[in-house]
Amino acid sequence: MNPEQIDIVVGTWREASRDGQRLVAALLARLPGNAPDREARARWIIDAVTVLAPMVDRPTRFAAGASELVGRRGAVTMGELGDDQTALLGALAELVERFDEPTARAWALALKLFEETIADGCLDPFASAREPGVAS
Amino acid sequence: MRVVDDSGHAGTVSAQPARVTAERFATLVGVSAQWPLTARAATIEHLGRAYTAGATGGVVLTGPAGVGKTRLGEELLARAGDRPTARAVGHTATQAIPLGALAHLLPAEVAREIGLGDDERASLFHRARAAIASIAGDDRLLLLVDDVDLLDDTSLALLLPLVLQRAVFLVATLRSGRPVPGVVATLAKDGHVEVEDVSPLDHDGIVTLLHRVLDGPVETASGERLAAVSAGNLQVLHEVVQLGRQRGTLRLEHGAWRLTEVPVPRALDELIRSRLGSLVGTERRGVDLLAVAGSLLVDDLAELVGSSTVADLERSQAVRTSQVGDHWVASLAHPMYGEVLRTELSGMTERELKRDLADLFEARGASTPDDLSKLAAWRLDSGGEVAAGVLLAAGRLALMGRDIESARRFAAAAAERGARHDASRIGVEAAVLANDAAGVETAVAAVWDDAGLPDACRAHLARRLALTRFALADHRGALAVTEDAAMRVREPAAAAAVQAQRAEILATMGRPAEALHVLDADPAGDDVEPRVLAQRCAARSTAALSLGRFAEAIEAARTGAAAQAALPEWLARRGAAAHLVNEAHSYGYSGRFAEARALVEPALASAIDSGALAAQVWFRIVLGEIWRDAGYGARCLEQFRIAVELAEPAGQRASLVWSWVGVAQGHLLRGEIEQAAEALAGADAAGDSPIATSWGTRERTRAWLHAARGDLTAARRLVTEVADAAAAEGMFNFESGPRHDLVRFGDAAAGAARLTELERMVEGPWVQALACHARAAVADDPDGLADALDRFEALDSVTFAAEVALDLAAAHRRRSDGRHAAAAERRAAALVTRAGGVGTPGMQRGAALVPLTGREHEIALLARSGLTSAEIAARLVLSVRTVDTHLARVYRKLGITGRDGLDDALVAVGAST
Repeated sequence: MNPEQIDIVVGTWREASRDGQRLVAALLARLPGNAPDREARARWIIDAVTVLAPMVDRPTRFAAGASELVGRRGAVTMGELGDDQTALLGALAELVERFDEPTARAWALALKLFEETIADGCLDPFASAREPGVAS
Repeated sequence: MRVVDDSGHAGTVSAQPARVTAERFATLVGVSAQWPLTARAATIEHLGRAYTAGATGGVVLTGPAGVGKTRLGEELLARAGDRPTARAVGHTATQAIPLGALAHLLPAEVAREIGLGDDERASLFHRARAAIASIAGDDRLLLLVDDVDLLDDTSLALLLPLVLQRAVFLVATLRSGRPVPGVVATLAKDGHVEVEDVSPLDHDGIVTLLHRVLDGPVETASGERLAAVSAGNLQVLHEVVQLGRQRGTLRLEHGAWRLTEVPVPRALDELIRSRLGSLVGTERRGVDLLAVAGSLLVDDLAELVGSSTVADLERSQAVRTSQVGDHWVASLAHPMYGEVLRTELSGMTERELKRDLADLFEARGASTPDDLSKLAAWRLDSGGEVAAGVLLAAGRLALMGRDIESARRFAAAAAERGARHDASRIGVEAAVLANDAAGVETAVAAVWDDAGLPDACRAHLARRLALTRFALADHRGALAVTEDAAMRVREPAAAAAVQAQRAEILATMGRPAEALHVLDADPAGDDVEPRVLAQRCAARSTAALSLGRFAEAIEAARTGAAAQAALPEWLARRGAAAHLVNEAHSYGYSGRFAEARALVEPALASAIDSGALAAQVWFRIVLGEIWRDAGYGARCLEQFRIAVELAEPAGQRASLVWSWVGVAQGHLLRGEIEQAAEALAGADAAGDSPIATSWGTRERTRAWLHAARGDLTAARRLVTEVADAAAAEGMFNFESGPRHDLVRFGDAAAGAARLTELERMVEGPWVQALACHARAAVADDPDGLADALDRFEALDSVTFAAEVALDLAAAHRRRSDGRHAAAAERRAAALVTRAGGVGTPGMQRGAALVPLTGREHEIALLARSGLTSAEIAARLVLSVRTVDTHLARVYRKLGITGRDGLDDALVAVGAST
């Protein structure tokens, strides 16, 4: 990511999260799973991006910010993280007024960084199959 | 976790959860010798699932050298939790030794028999198999075998039954192109092990990895270059990054990592030279063209060197071709080839190659932005002609990619070809990006006197130059350029933009009345585009604030914020905080502290949430000032300290003087003199902010420090100077504070009259309270002081209220009204408690809490008049020793150390007569 892409991510996240209820609704419409789990997952996604987006310019700061997120989320699969990202990009495209190609590109790179961070903390490659969700 | 490593050490370490701990997490994302595993999480997950599912006996990771196969296996082992793990490495040194690679996994008595004759091998084999199986216990041993093709035959044979029995889950690495050992081929053929191809990291994977490793964003062009030269090979990337940092060719510039030159590791350099050294004639020309161009359409390359040469180069693996969309593209087989080839090109050859390439592009038409940039650069490099339009387009593209050097070069070339005006905009933007003030001056000067310079361009250049000069505290220079532009520009929108800029500079440099005059005189008024309206409002609110016209300042700040919000998102963010800061200041300076805080605190929380560091700095400064004026030292200190810490990371050096001054003020409110002196030294070191009030605020704080040290004369002199300077520019709001300081420093008469005038010019209850205090102090009027006390307390200005309460107590005592004096002192004590402690000079004369006795007062006045202790003793018929004892008590009560401070101290406690 370059500094302009970081600006785009921070700015469009601010724009998208201005109306928290709409953002949750946009995510819920795109996340798989049953209702209570989806809602917790949507809120976790919002919290995760809210914590991580401002630190994109210094990823070493992720560790401190993400430890609580990692604890809340529990074990994840890469498929779940992929679903989260798809839902998030869809929600952003719905809520951000100008979600053009450079914006999509900036978010794609930011989500890669976030994915690495969350996967470092939450991915347990040896875990047995289970229902996706967020720890309560 | 039971662990056996390939160094022969075996044992058990404490079990760790498979979940990554915070400690490990920090290591993974930190800048460490071992880079964080990146873009491989899906593969790790696949390997772990394969182990857990139990259906397969292992996975063979294949791929080119340097893509991270071994690292993947190691990462899997690291995440294995309490599952049994072991590691072995195939190597030519142990390939001839039976069980050589696995020896460290075997018990000592078995290992000792390695190398025995054929008869013993069968027995040894079975014992070894049993020994390895036993490591796993009831679980499956997760065995990483690096370079499985270099394992000795016995070890390979041993793996077969262990995998078939699922006693071992094999994770083997195998470099592409190496022969697959028979045992592995058999296991794969029969479905007992999977083969997983590990591809080099793609561009995004490399960029993400670099971002993590370098702990910051990477400039687009540099990221692409590093991804290209490494071709996804992490060993190459690691070496290039390390060398680049060592040699300074990879460095952090303006918040992003930039690679100026690819350092080629020596061993690699020699290898490439020997590999390509045999190419001659058209083949050599072909690779040289690719080294210069990066990549070319196959048809283009064939046009220049012939189809058969392209085919030969591809066959010899010097060049590779790939399909991109509808086109076939040729590039060097490894991007590092280009780095080496370019060093071998003579200047003349390089120019010829570039000329040929430019001719080709021109002949077939340069349609894409990339083509345009290349064409422009090649033409310039080879000395050919290129149209100004192409250079301008290339310059704008370079600006977008933050390639400052190229942008400047294209701009200069375009200017030479007649496009001076458009080129000047590119040149100015490049200089701004480079923080090059002299460059901005030069770029503007090059076209400024052109009569034909379009108004919009002139307005833009004037804005850039004015802001550049203002940032260097060259207020007159900044103003001069806007004034000059105002005389030259005719087009209404451009003229309005220039006047708005001029007004903002006037307001910020401390000439508020002139700023408002410029705004009011502009015929366009507020009927302008949103960006200009936002700037006009910022200028108006800043000017009105200085004049003490807070209602007008608040209205302008709100209109400005609305105009700012109407701008495109990326532009709306820039400067939005300024409107809110002005509105909050308007509340704060008028004494409406709670409303000011209610505005800033949520904005600060939002800035913290969104990581907007610059906004955080300024919001904290405003909050600190609000707490300062309300007299809460600890809270003031807290905000300013954080502002100091954030200033550098936020890129807000100009805020440092304010922040350090605020820290000093917080300490002074608490009576911490030495800490305040240190902080003030920090402010001095930070230098002046371009904002006009920074000097006055700092010097007023220095006056506070003088007062705290007991030098009231110097303190009064300095605040008078600050107040007079503010008065001279009509900054009435900033005059009232230092005038009132005169009252606090014992010379109420010097401040009272002017404060009464200011009360009529500056809005709000704050200045009214200041003036009320001053008048009451001059009149030594207990009722007036009580009124001032009530006013300060109603505003929640606890420190000033406490000081006035002590003044009131002293006034009562002078009238021998002990009961009311005690009540005022109790009120002061309560206010001090509410403030969390107060240690201002006004409180130290809280000596008032233990007043001088009549005899002490009498002796103090005689001592102040210059009499020696012996003379006083003679006059009062006392012993010299008794006089000295009284004087010692006087000094202690007044908080001074000797006669030097006696005059000021007596004035301060209202006991000078």
